[in-house]
Amino acid sequence: MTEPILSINQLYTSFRVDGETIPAVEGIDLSLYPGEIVGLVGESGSGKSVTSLSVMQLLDETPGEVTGGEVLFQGKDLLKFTDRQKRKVRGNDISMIFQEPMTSLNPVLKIGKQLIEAIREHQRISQTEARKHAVHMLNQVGIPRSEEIMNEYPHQLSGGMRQRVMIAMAMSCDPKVLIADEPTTALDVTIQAQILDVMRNMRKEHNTSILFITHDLGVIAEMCDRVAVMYSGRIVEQGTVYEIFENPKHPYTKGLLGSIPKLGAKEDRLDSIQGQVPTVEDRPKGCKFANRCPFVMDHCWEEEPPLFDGENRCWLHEREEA
Amino acid sequence: MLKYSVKRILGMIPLLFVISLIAFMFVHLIPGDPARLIAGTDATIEEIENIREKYGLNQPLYQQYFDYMANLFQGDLGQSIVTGRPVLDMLVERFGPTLSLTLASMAWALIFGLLIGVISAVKRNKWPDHLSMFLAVSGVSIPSFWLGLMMIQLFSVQLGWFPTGGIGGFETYILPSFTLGAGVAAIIARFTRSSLMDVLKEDYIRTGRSKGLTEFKVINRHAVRNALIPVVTMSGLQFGFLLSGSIITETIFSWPGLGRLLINSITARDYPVIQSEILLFSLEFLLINLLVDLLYGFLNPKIRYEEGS
Repeated sequence: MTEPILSINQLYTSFRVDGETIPAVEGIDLSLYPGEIVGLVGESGSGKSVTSLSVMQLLDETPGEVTGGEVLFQGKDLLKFTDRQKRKVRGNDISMIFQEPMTSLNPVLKIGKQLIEAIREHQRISQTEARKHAVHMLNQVGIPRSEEIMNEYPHQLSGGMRQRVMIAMAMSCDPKVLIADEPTTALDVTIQAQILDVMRNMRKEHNTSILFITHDLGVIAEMCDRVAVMYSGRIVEQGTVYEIFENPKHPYTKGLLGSIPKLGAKEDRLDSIQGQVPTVEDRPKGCKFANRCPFVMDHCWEEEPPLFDGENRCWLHEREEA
Repeated sequence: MLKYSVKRILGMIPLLFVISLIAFMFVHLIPGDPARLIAGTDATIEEIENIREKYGLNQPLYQQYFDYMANLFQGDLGQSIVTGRPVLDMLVERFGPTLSLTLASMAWALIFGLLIGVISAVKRNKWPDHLSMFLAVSGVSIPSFWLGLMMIQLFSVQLGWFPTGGIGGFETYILPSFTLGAGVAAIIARFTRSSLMDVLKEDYIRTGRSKGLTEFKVINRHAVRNALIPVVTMSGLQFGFLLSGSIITETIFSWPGLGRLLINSITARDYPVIQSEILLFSLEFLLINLLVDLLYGFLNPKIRYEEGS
């Protein structure tokens, strides 16, 4: 098997709020192979975005801090890089697109300027060449009248167009890894499908690995090769999309899948997972899902389950093994 | 943009009309009789009456206002009761020194205010921020009469570097413009800081960082221009205040500007001069507001485009 392009090992990230340290991500392991799309799915507050920002080392403003583990990119630990080295990776080897296309572009700068800036930051080419490349990228993501768009401002574009611009910008230096943090959440469904198409094309043409963060299981099923399910700052289950959808093992994953409405079924109420994600202070000592789990056992409250087979974090699964 | 400006300037005319009426009424509400003040304490009633007659002060108020407005439309601001000179000449004479002092003060204020504001926002809650904000709070709270006197004491009396007052070459501008600019710099610094801190939380700043830009480029290209939008409004207002002449600073540094003219004419109840100054200050403010709005469009493309519709 080929080496992973990006591998996250035992990553711990926490926030410091009023002198208190609040853990957001606790010991995540995740690998991304060349050309692969891996979905990271979970509820709000499960630590998906924090994981992606940890990889990009963009936690400063949050203000969060990686407290342990390593993020290997092509075998080198990004966390040990100097600021200068980190900047060389950002936007060049690893790019990111964000949830909010409406606010992710600078409102006072023309689209062209923002694209060219990203290109020239990492490539030693002239303004004219950079401009040509920018127009080419806009064409690639399916933007009509790309020459004109170069001279327009973000507020003149729709949300879907802006997200295309973000993708063009992220892909302009031909990165090995693209991190997409809920790229379609803020868009309506038809636009969503178009954006997913654009991303799939990008993967096909550039062999880019994509870490796709979302809470939408439908999108995961459509886009991803593998999927990791996050809960309370941990990965509770991972596997291929087929495995997860056909045979989910963790009760949380089962709950998530169960809450998708089924076509043709007559249901008054949608299934849902009872309760809410516990706050950091209220997290159970053992399994973090214990307070909401329909299959909870005494043992679950005592000890946190490890990742059995590197795939799922549930004591039920240990019983099967035994 | 030209069409917009012309529309705005035409809109100022009725406003100035109202302002002139209010100014006229308030000026005449000031207790005290200019005729008596000019004539002196031992003047006879006849002498005082003569002065009233000469300046039309014995007419009913509405008549005085109509005369004033009729002259105004012919470009005649009347004559000073005290000096007998045309008010227009006096204003023109005083406007130059005030304008040049204002420009010099704004230069200080913008350079220091923006620099300090940006540094403290970027280094927030670290020592450069604390130092900057200490300076800014000092700048706002130190009264200009004290700062001006201290500067004269140190730089003119002790060190002998700059003159104590009067207008002349470059060196005469240093102390008064710094005295005036310090307070404005402090306000600009605080505004820039809070505005920039808000902008730094925006998503597009994160986008800039995710492109691999240096922190300098992120702040310089992406943050500052967005942060400047509210700062421009506030600086415009401050510019307007300075342009009305600073009574205290001009007095301390014997600066022959509009501020000193105003305080002198108020003391002497020199009605035509007071009225004309108020009208001039209003006009200045209106023009500066227009300038600020035009500058807004330059900074924010969104406003520029909506303007046409």
